[in-house]
Amino acid sequence: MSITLLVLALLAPLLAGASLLAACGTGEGTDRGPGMLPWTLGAGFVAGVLVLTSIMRIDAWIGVPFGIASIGGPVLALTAIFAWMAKRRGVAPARAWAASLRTLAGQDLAKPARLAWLALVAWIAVRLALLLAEVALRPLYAWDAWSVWATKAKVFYAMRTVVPFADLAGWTSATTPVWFDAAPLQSRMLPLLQAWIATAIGAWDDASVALPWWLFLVALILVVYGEIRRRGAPPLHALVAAWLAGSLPLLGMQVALAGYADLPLAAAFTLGALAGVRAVRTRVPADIVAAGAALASLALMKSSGWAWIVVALPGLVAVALPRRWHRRIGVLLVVAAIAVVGIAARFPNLAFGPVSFDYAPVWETLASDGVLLANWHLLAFGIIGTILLRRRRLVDAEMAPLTLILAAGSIWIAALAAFPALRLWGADFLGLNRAILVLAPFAIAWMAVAILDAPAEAVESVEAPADAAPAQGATIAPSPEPTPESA
Amino acid sequence: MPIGTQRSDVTESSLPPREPATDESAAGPGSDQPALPEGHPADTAEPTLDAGAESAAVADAAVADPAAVAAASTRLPPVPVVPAPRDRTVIATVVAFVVACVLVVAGYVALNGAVFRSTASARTYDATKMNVPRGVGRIDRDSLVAQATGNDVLIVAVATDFRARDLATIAWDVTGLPDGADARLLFNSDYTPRRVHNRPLVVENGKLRPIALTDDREWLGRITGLAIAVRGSGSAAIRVRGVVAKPLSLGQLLADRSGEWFRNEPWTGTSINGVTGGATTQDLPLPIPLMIAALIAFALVVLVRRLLPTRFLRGVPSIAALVFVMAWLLLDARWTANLARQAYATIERYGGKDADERARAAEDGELVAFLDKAKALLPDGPQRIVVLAQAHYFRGRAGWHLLPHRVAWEPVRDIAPEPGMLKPGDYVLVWRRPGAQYDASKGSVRFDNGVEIPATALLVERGSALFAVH
Repeated sequence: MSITLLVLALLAPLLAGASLLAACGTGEGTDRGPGMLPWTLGAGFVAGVLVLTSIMRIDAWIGVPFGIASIGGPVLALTAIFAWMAKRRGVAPARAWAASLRTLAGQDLAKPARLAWLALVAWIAVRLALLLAEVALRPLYAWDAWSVWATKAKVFYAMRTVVPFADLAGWTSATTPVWFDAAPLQSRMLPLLQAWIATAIGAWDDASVALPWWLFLVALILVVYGEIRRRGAPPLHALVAAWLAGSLPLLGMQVALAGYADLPLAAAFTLGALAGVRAVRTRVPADIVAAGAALASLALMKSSGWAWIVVALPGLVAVALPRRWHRRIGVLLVVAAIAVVGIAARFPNLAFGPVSFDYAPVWETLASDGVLLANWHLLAFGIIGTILLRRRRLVDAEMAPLTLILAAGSIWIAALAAFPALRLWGADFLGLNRAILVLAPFAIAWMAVAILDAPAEAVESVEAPADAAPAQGATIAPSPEPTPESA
Repeated sequence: MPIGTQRSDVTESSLPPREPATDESAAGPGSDQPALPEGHPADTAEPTLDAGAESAAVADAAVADPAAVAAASTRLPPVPVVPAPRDRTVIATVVAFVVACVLVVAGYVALNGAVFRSTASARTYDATKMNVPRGVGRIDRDSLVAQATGNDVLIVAVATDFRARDLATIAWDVTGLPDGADARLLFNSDYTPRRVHNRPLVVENGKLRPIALTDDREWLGRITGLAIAVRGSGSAAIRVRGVVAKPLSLGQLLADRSGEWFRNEPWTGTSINGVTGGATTQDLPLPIPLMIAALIAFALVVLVRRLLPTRFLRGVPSIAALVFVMAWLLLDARWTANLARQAYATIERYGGKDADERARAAEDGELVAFLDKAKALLPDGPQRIVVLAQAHYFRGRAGWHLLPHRVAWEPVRDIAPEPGMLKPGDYVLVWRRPGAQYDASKGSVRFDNGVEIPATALLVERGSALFAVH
């Protein structure tokens, strides 16, 4: 029984979010395009977590105690309403499921590609199974998991509402009940999600409440696959990208030792940035809702999460502006970075509260963590190679916003490395690696999109005025590298 | 430039972008098509399509209206069927990567001055054969625990007998060396029996890096004794498990490096912040040789592609992506193997247990058992509890296990409660911490900061207790 309840509890945000995004469908071909179903499931989980925890916040606000009925009821009702709306709009999931299952079996691929596809699917499945065994059995182990995040969840579950947390001084002097943990002001979203799992199964179990982290990894893999497919890549190409993103060792570690906010933050940032860029460009309702939910989640998942919204902004702004602005935004980013360095050099004692611009760079650690150790496999080399081999593609109309986001993220990480005290904002005091973790899956998606040939409109906009309409039936421009014939 | 397998039916990626297909399958069998170089012979392989803009127009029509295809096809002059040449990019890249790996290994062997084959086998000297000429030492299980006396140098030595030329790499298995310690290898040989030679050793993460003496002019004859001398270790005790004299050969180098790369890396408290990728100290981290091999393979394939352009239908970025994915795959295999070992250990430890049993099987199982007894003595409802313990790990863990009680613990320092912190009705939980004296006759507990409060001991066990403040 508790297993069934656990599965239902885990599915609740997934179904709510997926039906919400399906309800945003227009009933046209775009709803059933390649990669749309996996994308909807992955993005749906991220959006669904926001929906579920918002309901819990409302429950707490109006004084309704947490319970299966008070949380699960509204989630179920919303899911039903969204599903009904989706059906009315002609979104038919059955066909999409059948087609996706056929794709999963690699039935549409030629034999060598099919073998590679199946091997990769099996590889990903093994990885997910191993991580599931870890997360489903091990009690909360990593430090912050039980001293910062699940502390709140355990109390919310026991008290059946959101209760105040305070620091040691506040706890000592409190005249009304308050609780203490190592970061009492940290965000409530993820603790609420854990409290929901415990509420649904009717008991606190360290391992069960960590299972959403596994689902965040699955969601991330689905989002990357779906995004790359939706951008016109063949299935195998998208699967390789999803595998690359899902196989980042530190990402796996965050699942195995679940309980930190960084992995959910990475999933939300990847979705928010990729869907956000497309949402601004195409105004597709599902993209707008998914991007909005993901970006809002960034701010709600971790107190320093707002920094990642700032990182995404240059790309989101760039895609809304004519192409000539892309270069200007890039220059602006560089100027901002130089300004920070200049201010730090001129005013070494500048500080905002505990956050100071004390220049104490840890480049060696950054290089060692990024290149020599196993945290990111070969991600750094991949980014460098992509820049070297696809430099023209990186600044075309389709890629430039994504490139700007990656550049902004890289500048932010460099700033965290140069001014470690900034980590009060950027990584909550802790290692650089966990800040890189938020950007890394997005960087993989960026590489995977960059290696695709540019769509016609992107190429057209490089060569024609920004407001010129793409020529009808224009063919894709050849790759920047010389072909055997042209060479 | 997708990573996929070349097919010769439809050159989809050379078509203009179109409205998304109606479902996953609508991407069709051609959806895994690589982007072919424009004007490549394969572009003209489809009999109903012509090259250039006309073919694009026809193909575009094919998307919108199959009937238009038929009409368009009938307007086109028949084109002889030319079999598309087989694309060799993938197989060539795989072969090139293997060749590049071999080249990297050969280069590494050459750089280290090693030989490809050695008849000598490694000699291991374990802790039981060692002595401590300077300092004090004792055998603890399989290790010699040695300590310098005062500020003197610590020397741990072992008598040996092997040919220097055969075994030129010396690897000490030592842990616990403090940062900044000056460690040296001492050796003497029958070639210069009256001299003791010393060579500096590198200390990294409390361990000693192996030293290769192939080019050392004093490493001659039969080595009759090895020792390490450590200065600056202070009062720290170092643990010596043994020393190995190894041949500097291909097999030994590969065994050493793969031993480092594939050493089990169990989860620790710092794992959440970083993954080492095998041994904490490595001579050559695996990403580096793999990246070098990938670059060599890339260069090889691009070179061959220039010579045989018709055999390579994919662009340079695709080749780069392929070698990159292969190198990544090997790294991921290593990481997956480690994950599998860890998952096995986790299943062994926690498998088949319920939540309470898992908590008792965890690292702080003893604390959990004590807290279970303490919780049974507490009234219903969240109580105010102050936790005291020497290690902040145990303060935090006790605080965690006692939730949803209103528990407070000092996150950084081990300090006793300040005056005024505790009120009647509060509880104090002490976990294996000296400095709390309970006086049953007075009914009070006195802490090491001088604060004394009226309290009753509810539970007392081996340096641990639960007090009720009144």
